[in-house]
Amino acid sequence: MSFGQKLQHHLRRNAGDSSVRPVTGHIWDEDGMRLPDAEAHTVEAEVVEGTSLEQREVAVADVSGLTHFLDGVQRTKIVLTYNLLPVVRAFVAAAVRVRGADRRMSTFRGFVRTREALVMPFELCPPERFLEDALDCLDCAPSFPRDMKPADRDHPAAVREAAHRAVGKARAELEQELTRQWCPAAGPHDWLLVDGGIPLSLDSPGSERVVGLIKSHQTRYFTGEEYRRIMELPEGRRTSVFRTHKGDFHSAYSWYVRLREDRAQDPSFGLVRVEAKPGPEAIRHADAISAWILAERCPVSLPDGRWDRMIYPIRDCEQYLKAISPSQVEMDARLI
Amino acid sequence: MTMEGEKAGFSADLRQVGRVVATEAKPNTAYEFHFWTGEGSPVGIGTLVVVDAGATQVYGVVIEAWSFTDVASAMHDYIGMEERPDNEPMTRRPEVRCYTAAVLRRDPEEPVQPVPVGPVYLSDDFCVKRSLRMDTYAEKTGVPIGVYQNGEMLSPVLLDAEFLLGPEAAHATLTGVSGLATKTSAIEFLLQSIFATQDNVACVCFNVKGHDMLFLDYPDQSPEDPDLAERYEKLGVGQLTPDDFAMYDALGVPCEAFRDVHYYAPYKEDQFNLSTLRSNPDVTHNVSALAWGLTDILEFAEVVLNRDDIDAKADAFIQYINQTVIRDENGIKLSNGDCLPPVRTFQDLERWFRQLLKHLEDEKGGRGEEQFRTHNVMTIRKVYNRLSNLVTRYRGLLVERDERCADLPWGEFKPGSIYVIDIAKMDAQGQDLVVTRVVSKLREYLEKKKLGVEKCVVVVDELNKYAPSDGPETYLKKTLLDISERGRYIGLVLFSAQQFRSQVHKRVVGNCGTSMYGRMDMDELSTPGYQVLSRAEREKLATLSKGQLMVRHPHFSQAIFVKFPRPNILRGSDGIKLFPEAGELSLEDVAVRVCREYDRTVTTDAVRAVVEESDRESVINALNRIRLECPPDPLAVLKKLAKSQPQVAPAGPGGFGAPRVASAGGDDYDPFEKG
Repeated sequence: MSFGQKLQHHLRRNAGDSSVRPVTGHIWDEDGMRLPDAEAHTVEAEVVEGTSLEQREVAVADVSGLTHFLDGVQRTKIVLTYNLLPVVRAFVAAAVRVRGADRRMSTFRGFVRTREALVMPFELCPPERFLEDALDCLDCAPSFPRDMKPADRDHPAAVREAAHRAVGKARAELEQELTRQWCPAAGPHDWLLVDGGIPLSLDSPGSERVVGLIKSHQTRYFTGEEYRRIMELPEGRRTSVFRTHKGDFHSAYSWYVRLREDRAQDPSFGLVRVEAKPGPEAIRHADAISAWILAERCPVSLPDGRWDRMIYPIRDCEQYLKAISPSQVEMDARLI
Repeated sequence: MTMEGEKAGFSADLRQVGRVVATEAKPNTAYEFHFWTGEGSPVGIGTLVVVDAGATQVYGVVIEAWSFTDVASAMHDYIGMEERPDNEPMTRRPEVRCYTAAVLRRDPEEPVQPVPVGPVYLSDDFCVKRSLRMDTYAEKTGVPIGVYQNGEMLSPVLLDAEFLLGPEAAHATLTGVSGLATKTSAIEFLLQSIFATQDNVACVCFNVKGHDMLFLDYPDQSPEDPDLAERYEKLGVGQLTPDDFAMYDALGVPCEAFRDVHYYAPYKEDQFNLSTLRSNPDVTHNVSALAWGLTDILEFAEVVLNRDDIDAKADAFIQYINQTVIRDENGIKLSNGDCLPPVRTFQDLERWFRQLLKHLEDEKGGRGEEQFRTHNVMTIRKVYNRLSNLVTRYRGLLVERDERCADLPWGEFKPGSIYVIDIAKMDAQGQDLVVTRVVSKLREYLEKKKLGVEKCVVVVDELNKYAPSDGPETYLKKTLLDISERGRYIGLVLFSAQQFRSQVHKRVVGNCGTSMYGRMDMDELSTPGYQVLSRAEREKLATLSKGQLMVRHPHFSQAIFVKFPRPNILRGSDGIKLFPEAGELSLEDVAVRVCREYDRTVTTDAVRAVVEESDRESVINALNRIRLECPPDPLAVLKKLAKSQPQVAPAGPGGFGAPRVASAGGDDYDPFEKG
């Protein structure tokens, strides 16, 4: 029985319970409505390639050495209220797609993870009644802000925001799980590109061949002249490699690459940040990895709104995960 | 494969090629479904597939195909490829290939529901049989029409004889452009199939142009006769390929030429050379004359006379002649006690008219009688004029005397025989007369069940000429309409070929149980009659290769594409190279050839001697008798029937006047003698 069917069963079984009310018509909240992963802030980084942050040439590569690509998705939707508290249905999934010799993408065997759950603060909405119908539940109470007033904890908007954060965390956990599992499963010449940052404490063999690609720039690592050099990075160039958190030897090595340039656009147009496991290998491979990412510009990821920074194989991962997600139509139909 | 599929008889080796997909934008219906396949799957327009959805198995034929990628617009691709068409992208976009299939059959038949989502397999032999419902008739009444080819697999496709030759339905029509549609080949192969599988069927073909059907009894493959084989090789004749033989094997049809073929052709104007391209002495052994007399054609006067010629009064008088004069063996008595002579031939008719008109002029003391049996004398004169001209107009086909008449073996048709009537050299009106009379006689004999066979197929090329959708209601058109509507009950079956089906009378094509289409012209395909086909099917029809057909048959819910082997029959163009047309022969040469056909010991000199001593007309009559009766001693017959050379009478005292032909023997009647 699918999660949707179980939910339908639950709602029918509790049709006479006035504390439970199904909510129809709520839009299936896809990634576009996801809350930002982090708030805008600045951290102090440390250049580890050379003495200062510089713009560097990247040799053109005809082919990309990246072979595997990982991305995750999350979907949320308020499906019912329990004593006026919103209960969110969540779907999270992550997958690794591999590019074959024919340049076609397919799913790396065994590297798909999905999870569906109802998300609510357990302290206000006990999960037992849902668990009786084999509906997985996720507690979003830990995602409330630490400084939240007790009176705000049952505010529907606060519950929704907490649910979103909890779902994002669940998605990140799936992605990290797959990343860790990929390292021992991959071949010696395979490289994995992860959408977003690489997990911390990634230390298994093969983890040096995991690369993160960050498209958003909520976190700023440099200010002043160095920030200007990043924002004015010409197309096809990269910056020097830097440690993302000065003094933190576990923090990732990173550098910026300009995929596309359009001076009429925002300065971050076509700008991506690359992350790799800290160590001299990252510096040694920075040029090659940058060249591979530049080679991934074709084909373009249009019509995705982030096409200037999104490489096509990551869009392919998203399309795959979207295809296996529950549909809005089915979900609404089961709530009636 | 589901358990239900296994129970239904599906092989475990069925190859899955796709999955049914239903979207809100393109939903599946009870009669149509969509599926996608992988890139390399051998699915195309016309492919037969089967959906195994557990409790339901649905058989379908692909009628439409489309594919797309995730690129939203050409502009996106242009930008993505850096504006360089030769750019090789790092990742190939996924390209989905989708197909629409029309439902051929479902198990169980009821309830009729939309096609369920499920795996899609390529049809194998078993599935092809099921999907085309051939399992219900293949063993008893199946007639191979071709093979459905899927890769290496050749699955026979059979028509149901009860729906091809009657009585359930009948007739077949074949449409396609000239030269590329293989219309003649398809009909030849279908006839081979019919003869191989059905008893008691004969065929009459009209060769209306060139030499298309003049060598049906010679194989395309090198024959056993070493001399002929050498000539075949020299001319490069023989185009059958291993694929053709494989198709013959799969269909169980013998790969050979027709065994029993008889050719008929009218005479040329000289009345002794036959008007056919099959005149080479090596191939004239089964060529006979086609010559008709008055009684044969008078009931078809409507065909041979212009509409302007036959008004109601003239028609009434012709009917009077047909029904009263010709049937009266004693002659009609006139008011003066004289008796008009009995009429059997055009010669008799001439004499009859002269005597009648003289009688009418002499009546009333020389003042003349205005009427004869309610028919006005002017009408009689008009009919006399038109009928007496017929022999001149159709010289070669119509003959004055009964001795020269030669016809098809009515009542003695043999199963498996083909009777080819070569009317290619006749004018349009003459062709109309031949087709009309032959078809009418076939109908008459089949209705009486006296033709010699139970069923007869009539092959008519260029049907749009004989039964056009517009134009006047001719006798021939009415005859063809009648056959198409009633023929299936009496065993008279029409196989027609034409370039433009849209120009054939609707009732004729509407009554054809089986329709076949070769390569088609796009203009023709744009006419309303083809709108039932999908666009992809129409486009496939416009590009069909030789040897491919689209077939519609009552048992097939949808049109099916099949391949058929090249018939092992010598093509007309090759035949005419191997057996070039003989030039016009003298009467002596014709006599020698005819006599030696039946007795190889007859010497040329002996025949020439008889001909030189005899009257030309009587020799022609004698030769015709020999052709008809095939006597063991033709020279004796020639000697007996040919009369001595007529004596030319001396000119009159004044030296004026035409020389008078004196009768020299048995013929006691001179048509020019005054009564």
